[in-house]
Amino acid sequence: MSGTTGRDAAGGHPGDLLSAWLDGELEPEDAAAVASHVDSCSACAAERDEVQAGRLTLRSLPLLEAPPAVLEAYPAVHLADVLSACLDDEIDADLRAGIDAHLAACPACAAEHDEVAWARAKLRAMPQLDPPAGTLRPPFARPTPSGRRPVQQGTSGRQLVAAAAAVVAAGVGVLGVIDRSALPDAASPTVASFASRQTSVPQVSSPALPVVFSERSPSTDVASGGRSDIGGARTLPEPASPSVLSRLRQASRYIVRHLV
Amino acid sequence: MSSDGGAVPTWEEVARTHGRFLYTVAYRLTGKDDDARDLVQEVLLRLHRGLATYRPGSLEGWLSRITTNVFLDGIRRRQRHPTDLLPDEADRAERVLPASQPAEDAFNDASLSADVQRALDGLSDEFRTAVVLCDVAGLPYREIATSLGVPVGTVRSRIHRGRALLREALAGREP
Repeated sequence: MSGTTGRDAAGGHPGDLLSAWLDGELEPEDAAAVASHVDSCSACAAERDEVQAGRLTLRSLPLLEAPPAVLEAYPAVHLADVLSACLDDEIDADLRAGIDAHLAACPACAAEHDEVAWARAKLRAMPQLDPPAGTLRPPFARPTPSGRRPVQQGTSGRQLVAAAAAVVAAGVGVLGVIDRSALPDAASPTVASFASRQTSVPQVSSPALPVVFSERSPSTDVASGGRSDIGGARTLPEPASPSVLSRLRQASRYIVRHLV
Repeated sequence: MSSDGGAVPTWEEVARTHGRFLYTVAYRLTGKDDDARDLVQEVLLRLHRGLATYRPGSLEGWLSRITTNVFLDGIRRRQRHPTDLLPDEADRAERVLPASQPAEDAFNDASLSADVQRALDGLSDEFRTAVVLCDVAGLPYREIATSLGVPVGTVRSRIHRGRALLREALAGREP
């Protein structure tokens, strides 16, 4: 590798091998060849002396003292990260010794160290928290409205009431069909077909809804309705049987309780 | 947990043995009871679906990683603009402790704990995440770096700056 310019060229001069030779960076074989050549060649001996002089001059330059500002700025900017890492035992042991020495000598870093140590201690002293009930429920179960009830009451609560009303209305139709067919003295004929069941829903449910949501009995409704121009007979056109009404009330309370 | 060390733990196991830890990390990250619950649910859901890849080791470390990822996903979804790293004023104002603050009986100074939480909430997400993973979840720097996808040097810097900012925010407190 390095022999091409020196030894291999017959009678050639070592040239740039001289510096490597002086730095002790040659293989022993090459170094011996260069040494014997220099001994016998005055030109190369002179070049060796020149190279050696320059080399020694560079090596003898004194170490410069860093300006104090550099040393002062360094810890504030860069040592900082290391202070936390020291506290967390995330740093090499030998580096740590140097940092400890610096902390002993530098009040600014020592103060920062204490500040960070304080924050770290307070963070670590924070208690573990008990999850509120329901937090660790099965993940596939949809969140129950109860968790967000106070927030959602204003808006979606009304939507739920509307949904409940729709369900009640549908239930009224079905109940009406069943009950009227079951009752021997049912005034209206049994509704059999789906189409006529659909049409029966609004007729029966419209008086039922105020009963459900005002939590009043039908008799009160009739009584209060009687004071107005609208007669009781118009408010409750369909004389629903007591059993239908009580089932409706039960169903609606159930729905309201579970949905709203 | 189970004899099969490499198996993904079920959500029941996690809920039973690490429920407190999970909720605590979630709460310290979000600062809100509602958000913490959502976060816990999302983590359990991922466990249930088996979406998470479990590397045998510290289960708590693994849970912290998932929780952080879910948390950061949420932040990314919320913040359409990637440059918007610092919470804006509205967000900051929103970050007060919930009225239904969980009981912190075990702590001898509950008000200090609440103050520290508030100070945590005031940190930007990147500082808070690093500090919580280090001081609440107890993860080593290397694991935090993996969780956050940043170099260890960045983690070191964020933890340090997070703590320093926290100390600043709590300057009124006795040392």
